[in-house]
Amino acid sequence: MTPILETVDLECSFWISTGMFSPKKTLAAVNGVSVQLLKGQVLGLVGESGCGKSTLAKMLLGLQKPTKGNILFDGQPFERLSQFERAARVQPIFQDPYSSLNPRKTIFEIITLPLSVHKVGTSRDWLQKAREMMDLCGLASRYLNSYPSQLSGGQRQRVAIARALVMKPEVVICDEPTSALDVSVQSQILNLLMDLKNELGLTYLLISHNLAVVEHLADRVAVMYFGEIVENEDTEQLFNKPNHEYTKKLLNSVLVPDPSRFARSV
Amino acid sequence: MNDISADHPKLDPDNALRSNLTKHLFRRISAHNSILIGGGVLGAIVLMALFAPLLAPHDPFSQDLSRRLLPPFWMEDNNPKHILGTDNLGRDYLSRLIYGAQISLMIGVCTAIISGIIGSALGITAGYFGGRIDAVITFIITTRLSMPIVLVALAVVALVGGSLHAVILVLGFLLWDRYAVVMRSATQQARNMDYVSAARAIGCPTWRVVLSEIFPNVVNNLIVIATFEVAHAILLEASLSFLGLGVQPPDPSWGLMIAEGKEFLLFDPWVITIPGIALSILVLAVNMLGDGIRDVSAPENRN
Ligand SMILES: Nc1ncnc2c1ncn2[C@@H]1O[C@H](COP(=O)(O)OP(=O)(O)OP(=O)(O)O)[C@@H](O)[C@H]1O
Ligand SMILES: [Mg+2]
Repeated sequence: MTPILETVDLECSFWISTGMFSPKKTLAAVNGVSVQLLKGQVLGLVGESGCGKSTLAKMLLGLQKPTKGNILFDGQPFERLSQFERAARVQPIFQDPYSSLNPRKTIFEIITLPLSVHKVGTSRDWLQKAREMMDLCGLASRYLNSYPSQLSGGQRQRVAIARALVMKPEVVICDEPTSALDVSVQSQILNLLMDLKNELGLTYLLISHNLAVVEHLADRVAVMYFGEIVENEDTEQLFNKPNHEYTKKLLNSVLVPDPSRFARSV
Repeated sequence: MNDISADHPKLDPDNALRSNLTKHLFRRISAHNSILIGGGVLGAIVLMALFAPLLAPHDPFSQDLSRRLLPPFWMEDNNPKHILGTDNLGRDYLSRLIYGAQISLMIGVCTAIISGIIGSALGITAGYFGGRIDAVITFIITTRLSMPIVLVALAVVALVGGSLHAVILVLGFLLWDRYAVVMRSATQQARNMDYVSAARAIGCPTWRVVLSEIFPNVVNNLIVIATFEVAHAILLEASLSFLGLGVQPPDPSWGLMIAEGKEFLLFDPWVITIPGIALSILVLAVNMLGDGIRDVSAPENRN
């Protein structure tokens, strides 16, 4: 089975200046990363802050040019697709729903922006479509003409999800989709994401700091450390028999959410 | 459902949000004072300028040397036909004041529009693209900031000759620095928001990202600066006219009226006081309006 989205030796480095007179240095935010997203699966991506997870996500979205390496979509090089084709297939859900919705636009305008950019349908279809998407994402359609500031964090994230899915993408990149949300809302949003995945046959790249969430939702997990993937295993395998030192540290650094595993590891 | 949450505000998860909105509303209402006063006074002056031909009791240009320097109504020997007296050529002072509002407003507004377009175009471009483009534009801004406005304006106007158009163009091409600086930093802030990344991930072309995602979020800065620049330009025109290089006689600009009155300052100080007060009121009203708009629009800008 060919992966729907695949990176081959992907690399992205930034030129950073360390001081006014010292020469610029390169910082490899992502260094030789090869991961595969299989259709209909969830790939979890974990790693400490600053290890390059968001940079990888940005490259997959076409927001950041890789310095080296390839991204393949359905076996096709990503550069061969226009930003338009790319957008119709891969969409993001960002961490902070307070920053990911334009405060000057109504919910209707936000959700239908992809349709208007891609010139899909007429404005009457858009209303229909917006209602449909809001319904799908568990958002009452009376918010159609509200502004983001009138919505709660969880509702905003639902709007962001509706916007991401309105073009029916195949892959959704979720960069810490719940870490800005209230604990009580987090599970609602995660459940919604999983329901939508099953209903629409989506493929997720799920970036998260919450290992319990990743263990629960992901089929495979990739562990990132200083820009490199140090381990890439089936979820169960990784959580039970971590191979790499860093993975072990990472797993030990959090409270074990599942006492049975604690018993196993003792 | 809604009624229940209204009865038990603590149970309502949206409550914090709603009380926040009311706080904004309160702040807006209290800010309305300066909007109301500033806007009201400015509105009155604008109407006065628009309907000058109907309001002015006399022709502002017709001279009558037998009626030179008649005093205004609060002094002895005043002539009820000339409420604010006459100038040294016997022209009705009130009529000149009313027509003068046209010139002050025209200069303020036209200058603010020209400089606003130049400044925001530069500022937004620099803020959005960053890198080398930003470096070049920042250099242009610094160059402009290092030029003394009045001296440059004086030099240019002296070169091409003083006229209304010359003053507007010169000030318009000089006063864009504040727009550029503020729009640049506002754009830098806005472009790092995730909604810009989201729009780009959708495939939004750059012009559309700038126009429909960034611009609406920085435009209230533009309006606030524009009001201050209107006031700035009006004062600069007065200075230029006072120095004899602005609007040329016999046009009744307020700055020119002050300039023409300076010889009579000792014995007839009202010749200067009247246009001086008019100028101060106009500038104060514009500034109050700007202040009010800033106060009202600031909280809305936050998410
Ligand atoms: N535009 C940029 N210019 C320079 N350096 C950058 C840029 N973007 C990211 N970096 C650097 O690349 C590294 C990886 O950043 P990235 O945002 O991908 O981390 P992350 O894994 O998403 O972290 P977090 O978990 O905190 O979100 C960081 O050291 C960061 O400073
Ligand atoms: Mg990140």
